[in-house]
Amino acid sequence: MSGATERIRNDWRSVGARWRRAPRWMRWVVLAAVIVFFYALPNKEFYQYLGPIPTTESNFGQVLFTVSIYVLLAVGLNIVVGFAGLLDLGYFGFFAVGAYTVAVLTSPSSDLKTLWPWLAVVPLAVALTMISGVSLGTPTLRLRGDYLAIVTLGFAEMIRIAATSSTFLKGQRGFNQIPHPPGEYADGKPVFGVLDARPYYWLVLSVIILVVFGVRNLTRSRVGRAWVSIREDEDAAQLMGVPTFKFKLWAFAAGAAIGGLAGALYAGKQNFVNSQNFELLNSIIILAAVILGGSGNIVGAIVGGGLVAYLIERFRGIELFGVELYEYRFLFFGVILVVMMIFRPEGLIPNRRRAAEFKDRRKEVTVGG
Amino acid sequence: MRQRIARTIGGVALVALVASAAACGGGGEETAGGEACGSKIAFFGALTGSSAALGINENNGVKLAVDKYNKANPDCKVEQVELDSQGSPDQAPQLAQRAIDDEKILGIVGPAYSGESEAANPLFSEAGLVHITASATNPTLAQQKWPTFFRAVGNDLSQGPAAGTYIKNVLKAEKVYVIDDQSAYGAGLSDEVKKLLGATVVGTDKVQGEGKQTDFSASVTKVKSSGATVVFYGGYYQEAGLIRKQLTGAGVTATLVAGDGVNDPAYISSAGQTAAEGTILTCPCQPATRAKGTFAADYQALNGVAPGTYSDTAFDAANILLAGIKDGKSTREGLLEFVKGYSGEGVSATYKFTETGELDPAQVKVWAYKIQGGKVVPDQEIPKA
Repeated sequence: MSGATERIRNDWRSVGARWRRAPRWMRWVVLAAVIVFFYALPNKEFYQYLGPIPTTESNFGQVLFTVSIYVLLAVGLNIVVGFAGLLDLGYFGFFAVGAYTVAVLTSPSSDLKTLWPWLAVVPLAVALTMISGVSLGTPTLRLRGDYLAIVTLGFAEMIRIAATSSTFLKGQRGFNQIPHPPGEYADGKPVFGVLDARPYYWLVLSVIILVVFGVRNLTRSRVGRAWVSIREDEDAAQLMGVPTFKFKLWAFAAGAAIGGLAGALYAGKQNFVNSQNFELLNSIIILAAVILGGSGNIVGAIVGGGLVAYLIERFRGIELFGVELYEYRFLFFGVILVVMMIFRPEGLIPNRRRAAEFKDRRKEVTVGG
Repeated sequence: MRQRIARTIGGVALVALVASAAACGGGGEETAGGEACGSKIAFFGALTGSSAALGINENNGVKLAVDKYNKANPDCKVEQVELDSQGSPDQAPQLAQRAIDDEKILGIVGPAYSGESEAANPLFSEAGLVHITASATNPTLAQQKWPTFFRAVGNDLSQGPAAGTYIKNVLKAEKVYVIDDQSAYGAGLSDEVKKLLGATVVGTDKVQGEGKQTDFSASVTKVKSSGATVVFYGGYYQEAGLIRKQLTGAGVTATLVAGDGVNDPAYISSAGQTAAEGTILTCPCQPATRAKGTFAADYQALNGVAPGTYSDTAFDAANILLAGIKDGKSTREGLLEFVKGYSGEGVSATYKFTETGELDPAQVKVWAYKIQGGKVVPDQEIPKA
């Protein structure tokens, strides 16, 4: 058994090594092909040839939108958990702040009656989420590990309970008629309509590409190196002159901003936001997605977030031995997580440095055992 | 290396084959017959997850209607599609669009909750797919000019004031305590009750629904110290049963009044028969129709459980759609027109819809029911305030 897992591990590693050895132009070509593939994916003319990939029991375009939102969230959480090593169990709270900011300022059912257009509110939503990230982080980032996890959990629960109970945030009745993003086709039809989910998906996909580009640059800069040093050993980093608190706050703010942006995009598509959207389970699913995909690796986070959101929908309508798989979706999810954590704790597509850390730990264990 | 790649590709192909075989399983065979034969109607609501109880009740009601229809018309069957939304607005659009994509689906029973209705109804109205909800009672749904929206029950505005009127005129309560579960339904009802009762409401409290809370001692203490003689609960039967039990356990003898969301056999079993005794339940349904035909027995026979909250309304809603299909309406436009002009008797009410898709106000009769000897018995019709 261990021999087999070791071999799979080596296979993976050789694939990774070959990828890194490949000439630059080849990498760009592959990347461009992948991007084109995902832009083409929601078109029926294209996906009908993909065999079992499209979802059968729910509309594929709509599902892809959900998947893209999850991917964006995973990329954002990956900054906090993967790069800076801060265990955040309440990430969905930021998503809620973004979505609610848009709802309160644009919806006719809100008490403010400002009725702003969607586009004007988006920067505000991102800014407000960032502020909420900083104001949550300032008093709590002196904590570490489990303690920080509990504080972030509390934050998400506070948001959820406020959304449920406060009359200003309308609880389960929610805000309806939130406007769509702007834009019209030549024939006067809105680009972002009701029935066609593809434009929304393309919008989020473009946002993801921009965000990934930004995050990648951040991680390869001084900031990113500081994050990695904090993740590996905070005390050592502090001793070497890295202002750890400042950089942890940075990570929190950056992650929060991306979460808020996802929330704003979601509200513009759904044009309805209520307290049922924000369950604690969502925070946990996003965290699990990041860890499953490979914490600390952007591609890993994208794969994890996408897989989790997609597979849940893919289970619809598949019956095995007379049991609807969809009803047991979280059982599968749990089993996969357990198996992954035993055989591949670094995730599907690991960050090389983190994989090395895990390997060291494994060695230590075998020495001790 | 080459061998390894070949093996990987082989593995992927195998997985793909298995998945596609699974995906292609259960292809339906075409039925011969008229235009409308082989049509489908769908139920849209929560069948799994924390708020699935009502969805399952409704789905079983639809199942019974389709089953009866297929037995009566064996050469022209109608199929039922189940769309499990988990009651969450996130899932609603992709399922709504899935229903729209399937051209055989001519009508929908649902969405079951107000939240998912807000998310799904814009898509239905864009596509002209008629949907009759059996339980989404938020009044704002009818005010959004969705041409395809129909509601087979009275909304919160009809039932809430009636419950308030009953508390005021029949129970003649001086002190009323109002509790709700913060759901769209529960909060909507209790807001209406509070509006009508005004100063006689001595206190209000909020609890958590969907099985998230089982200990209501804080609310019970507040009720006890307020000296209220009537407690109104806006919410569903799971919590109502526990609240009634804990009130009785604390020696509070105040009468519990609640809406149709509590009108479920499970309420009596979770509160215990002695504690449940004397509970008043309002419902926009008439007792004469309660016993109509053999609905309860048939439902029990098909689903193995007794009908619960909204089972009958969903059964009626499905029957309205099926009557249209029986009438030879084989297109969505046709069925939509049919439902617009429909008037007829169901097991739970007489149906006729207004311009906005609401049940005709003249048909909304709110009755008060009393729990006596472990059974729900009709008490009186509540006059419109």
